[in-house]
Amino acid sequence: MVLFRKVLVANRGEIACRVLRTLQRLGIASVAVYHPEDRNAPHVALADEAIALRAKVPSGAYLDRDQIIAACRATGAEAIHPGYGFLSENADFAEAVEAAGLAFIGPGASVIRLMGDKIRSREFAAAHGVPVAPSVTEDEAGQDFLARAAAIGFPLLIKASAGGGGKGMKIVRTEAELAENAALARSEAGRYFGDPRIFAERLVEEPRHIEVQVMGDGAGTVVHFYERECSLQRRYQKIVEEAPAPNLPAALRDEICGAAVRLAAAADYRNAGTVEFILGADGLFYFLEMNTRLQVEHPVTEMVTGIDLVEEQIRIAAGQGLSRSQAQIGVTGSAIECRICAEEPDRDFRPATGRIDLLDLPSGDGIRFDGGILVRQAVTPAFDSMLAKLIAHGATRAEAVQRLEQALVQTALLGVPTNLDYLLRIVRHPAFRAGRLHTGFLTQYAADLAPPPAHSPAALAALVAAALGDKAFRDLAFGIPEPHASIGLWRN
Amino acid sequence: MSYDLQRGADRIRLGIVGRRPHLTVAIDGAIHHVEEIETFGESFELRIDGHVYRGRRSLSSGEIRIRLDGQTFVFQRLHGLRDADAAGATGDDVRSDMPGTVVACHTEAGAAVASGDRLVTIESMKLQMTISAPRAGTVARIHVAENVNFERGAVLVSLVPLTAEKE
Amino acid sequence: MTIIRSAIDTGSEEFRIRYAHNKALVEDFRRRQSASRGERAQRDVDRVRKQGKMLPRERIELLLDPGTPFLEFSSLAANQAYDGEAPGASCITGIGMVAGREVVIHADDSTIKGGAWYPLTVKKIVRCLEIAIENRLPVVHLCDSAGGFLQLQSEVFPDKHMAGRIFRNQALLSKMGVKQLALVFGHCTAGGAYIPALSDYNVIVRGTGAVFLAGPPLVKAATGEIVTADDLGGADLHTKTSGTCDYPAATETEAIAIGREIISQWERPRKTPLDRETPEPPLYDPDELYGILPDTIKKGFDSREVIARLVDGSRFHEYQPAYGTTLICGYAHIWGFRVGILANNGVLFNDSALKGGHFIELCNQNNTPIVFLQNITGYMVGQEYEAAGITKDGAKMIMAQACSHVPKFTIMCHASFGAGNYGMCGRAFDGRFLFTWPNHQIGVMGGEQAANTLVEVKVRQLERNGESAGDGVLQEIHRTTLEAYEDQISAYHSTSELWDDGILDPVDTRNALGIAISASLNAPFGEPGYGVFRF
Repeated sequence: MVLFRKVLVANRGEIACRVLRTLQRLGIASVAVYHPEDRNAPHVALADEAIALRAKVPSGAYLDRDQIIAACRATGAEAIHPGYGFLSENADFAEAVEAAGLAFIGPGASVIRLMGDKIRSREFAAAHGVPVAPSVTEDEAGQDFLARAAAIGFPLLIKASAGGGGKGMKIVRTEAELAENAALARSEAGRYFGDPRIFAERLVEEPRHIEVQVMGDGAGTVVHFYERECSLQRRYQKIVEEAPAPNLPAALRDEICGAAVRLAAAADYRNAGTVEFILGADGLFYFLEMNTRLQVEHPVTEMVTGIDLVEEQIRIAAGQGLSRSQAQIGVTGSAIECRICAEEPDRDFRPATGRIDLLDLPSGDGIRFDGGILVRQAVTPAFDSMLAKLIAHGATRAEAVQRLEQALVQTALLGVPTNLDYLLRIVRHPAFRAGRLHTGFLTQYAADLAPPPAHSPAALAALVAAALGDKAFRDLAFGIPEPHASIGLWRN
Repeated sequence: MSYDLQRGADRIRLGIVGRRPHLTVAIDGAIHHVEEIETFGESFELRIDGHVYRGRRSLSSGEIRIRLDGQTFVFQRLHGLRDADAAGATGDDVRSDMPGTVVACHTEAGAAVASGDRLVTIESMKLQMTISAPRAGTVARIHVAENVNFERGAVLVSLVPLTAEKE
Repeated sequence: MTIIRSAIDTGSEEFRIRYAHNKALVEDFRRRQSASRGERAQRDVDRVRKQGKMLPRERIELLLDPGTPFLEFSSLAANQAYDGEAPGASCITGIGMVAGREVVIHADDSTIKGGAWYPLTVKKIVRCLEIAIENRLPVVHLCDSAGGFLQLQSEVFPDKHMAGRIFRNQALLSKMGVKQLALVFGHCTAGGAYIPALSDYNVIVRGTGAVFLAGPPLVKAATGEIVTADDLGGADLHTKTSGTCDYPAATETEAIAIGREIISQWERPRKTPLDRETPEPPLYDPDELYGILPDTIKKGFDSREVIARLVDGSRFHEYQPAYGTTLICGYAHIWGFRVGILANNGVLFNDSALKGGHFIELCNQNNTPIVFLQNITGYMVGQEYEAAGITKDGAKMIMAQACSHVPKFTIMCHASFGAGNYGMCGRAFDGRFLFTWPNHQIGVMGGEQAANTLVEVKVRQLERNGESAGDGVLQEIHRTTLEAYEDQISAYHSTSELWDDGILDPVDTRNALGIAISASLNAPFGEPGYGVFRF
C-alpha cells in the first residue's frame, strides 16, 4: 500500500523536522527546501534530499511557489506538505500545486479561501448552526440600534465600525448605561475615524480559547480529535496549549466538538483543520475562525489520542480516506505544550537573537521535544522566534504538569534569551495548576510571573558559578601561592 | 583589585576574602563559602554555604550564561581594560606611519564611521594595508585621493573633533 | 617535634598586669600608626581629590590581589623627625601579591608636601629596593612625587646611600633580571623622573601623570620657556613622541589594570626549595604574648613561651636543651616553612655563645633559614668570663652568624643591648628583614647602666683634678643622661631612623615572618663558608 514515493516539505524549523520524521517512519523519501542561510539547519540534514532556493530575504525562499513546485519536479516528489505558516494557508499555492499534478497535503483551495475570509467564514458558520458572537451594526439596525443591541444581552462591547485599537470602545454592563455609552462611542468614533457608525457585540469576559482538531475525507465525512485549550497567549499568540481543556463539562465538550464537525462537514472539509471558539464563563461559546492546516499545538492532540496527525494527513492526501471512525478516537490522560521562543518576556516579549551555544534537551516518560535547533546555530530575526516545543503527557493533568515542570527544569538553551524561565513560572503558578485559564491569564498574573528577585539562593549560586567560569576570576581565586593564600586578607 | 560581573543593570562585586580551606567570597555584604565539587565540560556542581547546586554554563567572550534550577542567568564580563579610545587613539587626524600611495578611499566627508572601520587602503614598500578609524566619529575631510603619494606622518583623513561633535 | 608546654597562668595577677601594660603599648602604637597613615591636612586631601587622583593606599588596595596580605614596612618611619611633618617618611613600602606574584610596592604619598622626598624618604625607598635586590622581588613603583625636598638637599642628594642609590638599585635589579613596573599617577620630577625611566615597564595616566627633569616653574626660570606640565612631560608626549613611557592610561584604575596585566605576563619565580609542611596555627593563642612580655625592660621572660605562640602547632625541636640554657635553639615551622630559631633566655655566657654558633652552622648545613628572637642584655662581663674567653666565644658566634648563607630574620622582642645585638643578627648583619615590637629598646647598654657609667666617669675625672662633686651635681648628670637615653633607645626612635623594617604588633609577627620567609626564597641561598674562627 504505497502512499507516496516522495514528499517535499515546504517549510523549515521544528515543523519541517516533525513532518520529515513521520515521512521517515512511513518509509517515504523526503525532500527539504532551504534558503542558503539555513544550509546547516537540521531539517536540511534530516531530509533525504535538499534543494536550495534563491531569495533575497531568507523567509522569501519558503514563500516562493514557483521554486518550490520546480523543486518537486526536479526531485520527483509527488506531494507537498506545507507545515504551518508560510504557504500553508495560501489557496493559490494549493491550486498551483494541484495544477502541477502534485498532491497538496491539506484542504482544497476553495475551503482555504472560504475560511481565510473572516466575514464569509463567520456567515458560513452561522448558516450551519455554529454559534457566532451576537452583534448588531448601526447601519443595518437603523433607528432601533439600541433596542437590538439590548436584545443581545449584557455585558456588551460597543466599538467603532471603522476603528480599532480600543479607541471609541465602551463596555456596557446594564441597559441603563447603553444609550449614554453608545452616544459617547459614536462621537469618539466620529472624532477618531471620521465615521460615527458603531456596532455592538456580546462581551465575553475572561474568555477561554477552545479549539477542535478535525479531519475530513473531502467527501462529507469528518471526525474530531477532541479539543485543545489555548487560552494562554501573549501578544495574541499562544504559548501554552493543552488537551483536553481542563474543567470543561463533558456535555459542553460534546457540544463544542459537535459544532466543529458540523462546520467542517458542511464545507466537505478535506484533511486536517482546526475550528477555534471563544468560550465564556457562562458556558456559551462562539465561532472564531477555522485554520485550514496543521496547528503548531497539534502534538498535544497526538499525545492524548495516540494518533500521528501528519500520517493521517498523508493518508488522506494519498486518497486513502480517514483511517479511523469517531468511535475509534479516544482520549487518554492529559498533554500540555510549551512554546520555547527566542524572546525576552521581561521586556515585553521582545524577540531576541544570538547563537545557541549550549542545548540540553529534556527526556523522560511522556516527554516530547519538537525542535529544529542545533548547538552553534544562529538565531536571527529572519524567521519566527519560536525555536521548539516541549510537550508533556501524563495519566492525569497533574502528572502532565509535574512532568512538564521537570522537563522545563532539565532543558537548557543558552546563547540566546528565551522564555524558558517564564514558561516555568507559568507552569508553577497555582492558577495554572488549578486549570483556571482564560486569555487574560498572563496579564492578570503578570506580577506573579515577573522574574524573581535577584537575591535568591539560585541567583547567588549562578553568580558564583559564572565567576568560576571566568579565567580572570579563577586566576584571582586560585592563582595565589602559599603562604599568602592561607594568610588571606591581612594588614600589619 | 576587585572582580565584578554585570547582571542586567546591576554591577555585582565578588570580593575574595579567603581561600583556605575553601574559597570565601563577599557578595552584597554577606560572606559565602564556596566549594567546587566537580566541573565537567559545561556542567558544574558547587557547594555554597552547605547547599549543592548543579547547573550548566556557557561562555562567550562577553557573556557567561548559567542555567540552574530552571532559571537562566546571563552575566556580562567586565574586563576593566581600555577601549581603543582610551588607549590613546583619540586624535582627530589619522596619519600614515610610512610614506606611500593611496590605493583606495573607503569613506567620504560627512560619513559616520565606527571604531575600526576602513578609511583608506595604502601601499607602501610593495605592501598594501588598510588605515582604520581609530575611534567612532564623523569624517571631516579626506586629504588624499587615489594614486596620490604622501610622506611619512601625512594626515590622510581628519575626523570631526569630539568636542565639536558633542555640540 | 614536641609541643611546648606553656607554664603561663593566664589567670595570674602578673599576667594581668603585663597584659594591660603591653596591650596599652600596642594601642599607643596603633594610634600613632593610624595617625601616620591617615591624618592629613584636609586641603592636601582635597587637592589630590580635585586632581581626580586616588590616595596612595587606595591605589595599593586596587593593585593588590583581593583577599591577600600586604606586609607594610616602616609605617612609622620619620615619626620623630622633621617635627612630624613627614609621616611614614612620605611614602609607603611593602610586600604584596599582584597577579599571583610577590612584589615590592613603593608608593609616593603626594598628600605630604606633594610627595617630596625627605632624607628618610630616600632611606626608606633605598631600603625597599635593597629588599628587592636581596630577595629578587619585582618592584611596582606608584609614582606621584614632586622630587627631592630642596630645603634638606644636602641630606638627600650627595652621599652613597642617598637618592642616587635608588637609581643604582633600580639599574642593578634590571641587570639581575628582576622586573620593575612604574605606574605614573602624578609628577615624576627631577631625580624622580628616573624611576619610570629606569623601570622595565611603565604606564602613565593621561592628564595627571607627567615625567620631566624639570617642571614648568624650573623650565621658566632656566630658559624662559612657558609650557604646561602635560605638554612638557605628559602621557601623549612620552608614549607617542619620546618613548620614555610605554602605555598610556585614561584613568588611574585603568593604569592599575594595565599594570596587573603586565605583571601577569612575568615569568613566575623558581623559588629556592625549602621543606614545607601544611601550616597549622599555634596551639596557644598569640594574644597571650601581651601577658608574657614584661612590664619593664628589666624583667625577663621565658622565650619558649614566645616561640610557642609563633610557630606551627607550638611544636619545637629544641637543640641542646640542657646546655648553654640562656640561649634557646631549635627547629620549628612557621606557616609551614622549616626554620631554625635562636632566642635569648638571659645573658649570653661562653656555653650559650658556643651553642648558638654551632646551631647557626647546623642551620647553614641544613639549608634552614634562621629566626633570631632578640631579648639580650649582652655577653657576660667580668674577670672570670674574660678569662674563660667570653670575647672570643662571642666572636665565634658573630662569625658564624655573619657568614651564614641562609636567610636570616630578626625580631626585636624586648631588649637589645651591647654586643648581644651583633651575635643575634642586629641591623648591621644584613638579615633579610628586621622587625621590632613596641616594648623594644636598643642601645650599647641600658639607660640605667649608661647613667651610672657616666656618673662614675665624672667622679673619676673630678677626683683626678682633686675636686669632688656634690650629690646634686651627680644626680643631675644621672637624670639628664637617663632622659636623653630613654628617648634614643625607644622603638619609636629606632623605627623613625629606619633601624628596622617597622614595628609589629607582636600578634602579627607570625604572618610577617611567613611573608618574609616566602619572599626570601625568591633569591638563591648564598655560598656557604666562614672566616677564621678564634678557637
